[in-house]
Amino acid sequence: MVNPSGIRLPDGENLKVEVVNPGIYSIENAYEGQFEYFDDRPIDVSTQISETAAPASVLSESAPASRK
Amino acid sequence: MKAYAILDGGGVKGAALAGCLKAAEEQKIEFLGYGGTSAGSIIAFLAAVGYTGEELHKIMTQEIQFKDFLDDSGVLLERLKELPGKLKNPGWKSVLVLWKHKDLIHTLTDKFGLYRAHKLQEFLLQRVVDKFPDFKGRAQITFEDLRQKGCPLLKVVTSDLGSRIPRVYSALGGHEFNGSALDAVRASMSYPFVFRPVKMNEQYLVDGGLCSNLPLFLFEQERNKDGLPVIAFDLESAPASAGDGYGFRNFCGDMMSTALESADHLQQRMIQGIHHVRIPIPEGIDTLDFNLTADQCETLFLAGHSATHSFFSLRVPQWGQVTNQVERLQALHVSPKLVVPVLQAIAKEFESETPAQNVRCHIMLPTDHGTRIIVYQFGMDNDADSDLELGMDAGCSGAAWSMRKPIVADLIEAKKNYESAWKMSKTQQNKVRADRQTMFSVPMFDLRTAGDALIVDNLREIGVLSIDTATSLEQTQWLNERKAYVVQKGKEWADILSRILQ
Repeated sequence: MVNPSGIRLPDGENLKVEVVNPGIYSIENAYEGQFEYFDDRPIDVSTQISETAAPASVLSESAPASRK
Repeated sequence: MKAYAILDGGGVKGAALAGCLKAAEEQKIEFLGYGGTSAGSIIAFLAAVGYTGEELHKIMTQEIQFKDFLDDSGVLLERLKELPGKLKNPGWKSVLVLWKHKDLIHTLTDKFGLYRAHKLQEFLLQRVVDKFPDFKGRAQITFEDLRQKGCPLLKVVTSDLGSRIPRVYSALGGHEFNGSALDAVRASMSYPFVFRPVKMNEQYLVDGGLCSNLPLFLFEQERNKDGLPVIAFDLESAPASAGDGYGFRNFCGDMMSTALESADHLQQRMIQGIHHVRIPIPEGIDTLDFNLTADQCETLFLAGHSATHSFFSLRVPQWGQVTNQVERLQALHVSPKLVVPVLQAIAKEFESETPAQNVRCHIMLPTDHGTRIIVYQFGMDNDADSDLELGMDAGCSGAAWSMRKPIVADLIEAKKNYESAWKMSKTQQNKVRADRQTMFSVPMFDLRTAGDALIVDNLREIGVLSIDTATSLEQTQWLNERKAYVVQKGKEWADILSRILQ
């Protein structure tokens, strides 16, 4: 289970702040970096992304055509 | 309370589902959508057309004659049921039995099922006309017809033998919006070999139960969008026993039941967060018992009513006490008693660990009509903005929601351009307490889906946690010295609160 607060920037990297509108600032890289479940044992999330399968698509929500 | 209903397939046991809907109605549950398979699709269709619980009670216990749906009142079906037992004796006697039943076998091999069930479609069509007299003379009723009449969303599940997948029919998507709802229901209840499959677009459609008898997935899109509860009404028969007297006929029946129901148990493990109402079906009532008496139908109705009434009384008693939108959302998530102390701790922590003073804290959750509203709060009891309702992307919290990122806002600056930059009306802006100077908002994600999502982009948002203060942005240091602390703590509290809310 990956919880967003477990994703942290590596040491030495800084949070990037962007001005969205006057008075509104976004933290651009708040969810980038490495995932830490246990302290000081980071997991490289980026290498695992490709291993996740796309969700299966089983539904087709179209109505049936009327029989003539 | 608004919700979506999923109705289990169960042959002639549909009267129990009528009891479920009657009990839900008594609890003031308003279903925005009905979906189902087989018998569940029939009840879903009637409910979507506008039949109340009491009207369904009357239809299912007094008006409906199941054997009338069998073209010969069930003679062929009884012969089919008896056939496995008669084939027990090896040798020439079996050949003789097959010879005697050659008309039955020919019907199966030629038509793939015994009955056309036209009377069922006529029955349903008449029920629609009773509700909408202007449909009189029509041969078909489409999903689009029902949508235009303002009926709740109807979804019907069938099994497509060509593509070997479940097909969900509704007026929602796809390319054929004018499809026949009657044909979809007829296909959905095409119990293998009993009813003939429905042929559409060169594909055979049969009982949706082959793919999913209790289609828990039906309203996932809607649930992710509006957060409304989905209630699945599950007809549970007593476990079969393979004791003395267990024969080939029992074996065939149990094998068919297993094929229809086993996949749903797997689905229940995969799809979380659905309210599951289990209705124990009284012993002695079989899926294909088309000779059901009125008393047995009444027994089924009462079983559904009782199980559903118990569910609402014992599992979600708070639903019946809801008086407004905020309470509705609290009832769906968790009592404020469990959340407010956490919000208080957050406010105190930000006051002690950063220069911010006079800190308030709140959680906004999406409503079912495209807005967000404050559902849980600390420090706002006497403030006009304690019930603030905003557009999805309005204000500081709206920016956090739409951008899916933590946002820090200078509220003094916000007052200068609340309409253009903040998408807030003057009334909304005026509600915000005048001494507020700085705000920090962080999105809350659905951590139940986190097992399938290794990056935050794949997580569903459930709300926004916000913290505001009477201290100026510069003095809070939230965007300079204390920035890393504030962002990390905000993310952690948002995760903790997501867990509590779910």
